[in-house]
Amino acid sequence: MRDVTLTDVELIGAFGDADRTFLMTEEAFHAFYEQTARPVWAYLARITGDGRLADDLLQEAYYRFLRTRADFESDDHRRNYLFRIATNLVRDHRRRRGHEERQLADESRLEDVSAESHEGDRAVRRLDLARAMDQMKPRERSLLWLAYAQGCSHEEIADVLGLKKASLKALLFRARKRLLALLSTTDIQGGRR
Amino acid sequence: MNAPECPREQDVINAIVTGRWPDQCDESLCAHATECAICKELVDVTSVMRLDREAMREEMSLPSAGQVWWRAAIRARLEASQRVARPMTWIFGGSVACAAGLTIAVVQLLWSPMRAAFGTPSPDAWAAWLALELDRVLLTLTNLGPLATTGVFVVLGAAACLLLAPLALYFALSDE
Repeated sequence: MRDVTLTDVELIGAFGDADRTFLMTEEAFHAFYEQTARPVWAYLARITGDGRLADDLLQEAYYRFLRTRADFESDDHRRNYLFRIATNLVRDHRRRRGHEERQLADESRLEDVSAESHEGDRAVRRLDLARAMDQMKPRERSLLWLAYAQGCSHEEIADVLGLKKASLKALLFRARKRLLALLSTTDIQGGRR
Repeated sequence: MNAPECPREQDVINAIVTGRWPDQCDESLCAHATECAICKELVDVTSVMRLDREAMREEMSLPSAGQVWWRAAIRARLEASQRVARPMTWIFGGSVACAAGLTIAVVQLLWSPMRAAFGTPSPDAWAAWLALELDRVLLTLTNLGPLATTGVFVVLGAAACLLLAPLALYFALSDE
């Protein structure tokens, strides 16, 4: 998104009209954002492998969420809908940018993780996970993150990723096996076993 | 490939994700996880995922809800104003195209008789030719009936409008 200038603000005037533009009120949005922003950002950062991109996609995800006219049955439904928007944004971005650029971003992020994290086992385990996730397919990353970092149920994952619940167990099982295999490989390569 | 299942899978995941594992969860669940191969795998995967998620939560710096709302509101208003301005842009483009077409048609109509009459035109020859053509047009209008004369003026008026419309629209839009 381009930077907003003061002129834009002056042109637009008062923001009271935003409540009429969006179905959600500002107060309700604040509460929803406090509940969901961190998990959504973590999800975006892990499946894109790029924190800065996650920042941009987070803003875009909330914008699209605010513009939607959907009726939500519950808070969980609303949250899952936001995750679905985030997933679609990552897919769109990947289609536009291609694989090469993502790889470069991933490499820089791996350096960030090692530089910023505390020394010790925790940082090493995170780096191993990041490297292993980088080698997985985008859908596998989403599946694993939603299931094991977010603790989403199979119904919720199927809803977010647009998959059939029947096929989910097998996909999740395969992704889990692959991750464990990759994690053990990075351990061996690192000489820790 | 059939995925092997354990009925306690989700309990193990929930215990780890919510931070109850291993100290604050059911002892039988911990005992089960040490024996069940599936749950053991789940503990490995979910523990490292949770560790990563928690570390990311500590590191991330997010914009406030107010900022996100403010940016979304600005963008919604800008998009709305762009939607409103779109028909004006189309009208402006159409007018410019009409004016250009009309100019080309007039030039094309006049070009051949001019070349035939003067060969290589000079300023004096232009002036003489224009005076001649004007006389001829006036004579033709005089010979035509009043209804036909009105029709010609309507066409000329329409052509003038087509030429002036882009200019008028330009000034109107530039004020905004």
